[in-house]
Amino acid sequence: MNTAIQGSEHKITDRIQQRLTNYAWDMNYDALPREAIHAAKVRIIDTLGALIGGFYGEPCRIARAIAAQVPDPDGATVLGTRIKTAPDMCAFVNATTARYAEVNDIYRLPGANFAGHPSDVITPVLAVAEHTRASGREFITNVVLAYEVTCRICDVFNNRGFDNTNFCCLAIAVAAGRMYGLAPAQLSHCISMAVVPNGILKQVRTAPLSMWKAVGAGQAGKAGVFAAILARAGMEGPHLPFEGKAGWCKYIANQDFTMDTMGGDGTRFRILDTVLRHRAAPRNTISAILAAEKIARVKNEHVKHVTVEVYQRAKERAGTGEERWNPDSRETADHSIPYLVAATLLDGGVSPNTFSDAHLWNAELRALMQKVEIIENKEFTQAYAGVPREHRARITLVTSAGEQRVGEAGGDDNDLAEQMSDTQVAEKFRGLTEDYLGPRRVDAILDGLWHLDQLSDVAGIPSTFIL
Amino acid sequence: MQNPSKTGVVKQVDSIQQQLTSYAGDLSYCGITAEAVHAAKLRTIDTLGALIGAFFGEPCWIARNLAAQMPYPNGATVIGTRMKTAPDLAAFINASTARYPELTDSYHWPGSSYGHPSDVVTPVFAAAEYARSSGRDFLTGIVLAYEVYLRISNVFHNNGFDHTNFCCLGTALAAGKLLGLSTEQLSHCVSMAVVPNVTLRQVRTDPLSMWKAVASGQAGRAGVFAAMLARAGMEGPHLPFEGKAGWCDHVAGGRFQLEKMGGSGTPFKILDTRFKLRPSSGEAQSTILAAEKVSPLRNLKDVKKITVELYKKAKLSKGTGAHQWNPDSREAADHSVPYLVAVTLMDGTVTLRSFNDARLWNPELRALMQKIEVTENEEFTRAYERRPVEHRTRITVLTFSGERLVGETGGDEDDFSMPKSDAQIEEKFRGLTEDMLGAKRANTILEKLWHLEDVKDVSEIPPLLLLH
Repeated sequence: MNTAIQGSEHKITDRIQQRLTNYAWDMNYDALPREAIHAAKVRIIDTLGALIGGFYGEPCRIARAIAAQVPDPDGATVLGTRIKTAPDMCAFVNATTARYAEVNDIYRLPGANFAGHPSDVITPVLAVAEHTRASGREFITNVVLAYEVTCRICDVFNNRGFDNTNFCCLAIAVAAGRMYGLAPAQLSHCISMAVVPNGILKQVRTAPLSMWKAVGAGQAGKAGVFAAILARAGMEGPHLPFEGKAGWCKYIANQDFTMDTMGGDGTRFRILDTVLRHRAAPRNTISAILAAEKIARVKNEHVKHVTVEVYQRAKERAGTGEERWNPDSRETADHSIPYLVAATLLDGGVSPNTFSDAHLWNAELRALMQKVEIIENKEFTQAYAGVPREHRARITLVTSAGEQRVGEAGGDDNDLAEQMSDTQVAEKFRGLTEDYLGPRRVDAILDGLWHLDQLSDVAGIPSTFIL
Repeated sequence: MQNPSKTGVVKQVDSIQQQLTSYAGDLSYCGITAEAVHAAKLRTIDTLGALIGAFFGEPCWIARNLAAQMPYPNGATVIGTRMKTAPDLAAFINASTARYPELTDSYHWPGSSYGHPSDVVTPVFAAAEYARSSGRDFLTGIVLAYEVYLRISNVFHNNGFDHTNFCCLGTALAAGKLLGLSTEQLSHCVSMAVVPNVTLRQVRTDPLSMWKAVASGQAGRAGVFAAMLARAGMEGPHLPFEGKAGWCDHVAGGRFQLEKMGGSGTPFKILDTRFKLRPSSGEAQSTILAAEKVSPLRNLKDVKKITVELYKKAKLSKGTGAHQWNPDSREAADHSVPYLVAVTLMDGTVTLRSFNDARLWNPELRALMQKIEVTENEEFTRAYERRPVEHRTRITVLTFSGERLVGETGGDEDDFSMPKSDAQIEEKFRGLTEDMLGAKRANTILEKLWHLEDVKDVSEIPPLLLLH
């Protein structure tokens, strides 16, 4: 099918494409260190919990309605339902839904220009694993593979105009192609058909945010899976996708790079370095939430003033600009420290419900938000720039009676940079799913997922999630 | 469907998005000139002819195999078959197929980013069939998609990104209009088309692969899918063009203002695209026509040297680099001036069969190619850079017996940039389809398409194009 390759006399595959193809081929479960396997299980549990937590979100419901119009009994399952659709459409819906609640993991190499949400790869990889009736071990292997590709690209990416979901699209294509059993030449085309025609601009997560912020993950998943489907059918992608004259390095990554170092043979897998979130909010807001929890709950009428001290990046990303004090959608609210601090002070914590319309337009919350002031604490900024990174925040609340209360978080065991224990992961999963699935089913699901390596066919997983 | 943005205090829709949305909303069949309506018909006929002619091309059947796995009875037809699939997937297949033979129209406006705007025809058709639109609504959609495509081409300046990006946007607006989107939905549709579907120019950068044709399908699919998402109530990213990480700064090569769009006295851009009479790149049309004038050569062994004089852009993109003298695929061959000249000199002209493996690897042809020299003629370059654009070529064949043959084209009524008559387009359509559809059905189809404005529901058209 790949006629051009056979007859070719000039170079049509570039180094990065070749490297990724070989890396995917060489990856195998038996060579994975135990911690990487465990890290994959933890992230699968975490992401599926996030999906259930986000199930009733607006873009998730809309995406499901579209998938329901294109049923494919041999495809993959829209998680939470009995609907089966084409694997790429399934990836679109499930990845959107898992991303929606803002509780899935985060990755940033200290010093790198880019951060990302590598768990965006999990549900698209599961869609193809289900479609190909892969074993639990094959699924785990491909999750580790997709994480590795996403994170390594994230380490070298250098263009603020393009989004981190581009890394996921590529990583998903590599893993999906591997699961479809593509020959090296086909896998190479699969990679090319993922990166060349599916660029995603960073406008998807640039203020003012829209519901598309979550859908960006779905779009990338759909594109990655579709590239693999095309390659399996014999389609040939553009040549020299990364290093060509009009290729990905020059115009999207904004620099030449190599991918010489990747996990395995003693090199640490990147999946171990992504951080799980304790709360349903973006990374730079979490320490403020944790600090606020320590002095919650309060009533607005008793509060005179609230000062939030954070590190510089947190102030820039989530505490600067008038719109942070006047969010008008879930997406703007969950990226606003004033909103999150006010909600936590009133309710005691943050959950997916914190962003419902009733909360969003609650007059007491709006009034409290106006009393919140955000300032940079230089010491916190230095702690954030250190290794290991610390995410610190201090909240000082002055009551109308003149009393002062202080809540502080970060720099300890509960810092965002610290890995969550298995118990914390299971607890978070329960918190997100128990209301919908009931405690017994939750126990059964958790038991199954902790023993994923013993599962012979992952197609059994989706039926345990039917809401 | 309730949109939280209504209560927003921050600007969420940018001016280009706003302009495109209002233009699409306001355009109506009555506001389109008779010549633009006719131009839309011509291009529909031309594009469907190309599709039938390319039906058996490799990426085309590969794409069809995918649709066979994803049937969708209320969707849109994979043209040439009885299969219906999701409208976005139908767009993918039909647009890839129509683009494959390099026979669809081409845009050579000086200073623009060029392109093949007919890429929009089959995706817009898929949306129209799905929505059971009338012929008039479909024609309006075509004029609209062309207008958007070409106005964007005129202001786009980034060599890293492809013109199929314009196709995606043009298709999204036309499909959104045909699907009956509200103004607000249409604005989200625009955003969901341009922000997450950026295509690199690598799709048509040497060495070419079969994806060159499929890039059109990919763009058409993305445009139709954006419209379907918007109809389902999905909200796209805000400020898609003018946001900090938006399309202007990172894809288009800078901020731009749209030109005045067609209608109310301003001519529609659809009138400015040009038809190909030979299956090859637009820049190679004049070369083939010039070679035809001295073809076929009776004694190839007697050929000593062939000089091809071209305008600069044609030389740079189709006659520079060792790979142009050594094409290894259909896609490379139909974009190689040396190959096209050699095959024309041998066979008298270029047809879809000129790129079969037997021809591609023919030793005699390969030997002839090595005698070809391609040079720039500065006078031709100047003629290409003014309006009306002239596509000129001169071919000089020297033989060992001392003979000198000269073939020249361009700058006259046969120039590639001259409009083609209805009769020429009909003849081209028949030539591409008659073998497969038979003369009577070809007539029926032409009759139907020339009177598209009388068609109540365009879903009656695909059955006419059934090949088996």
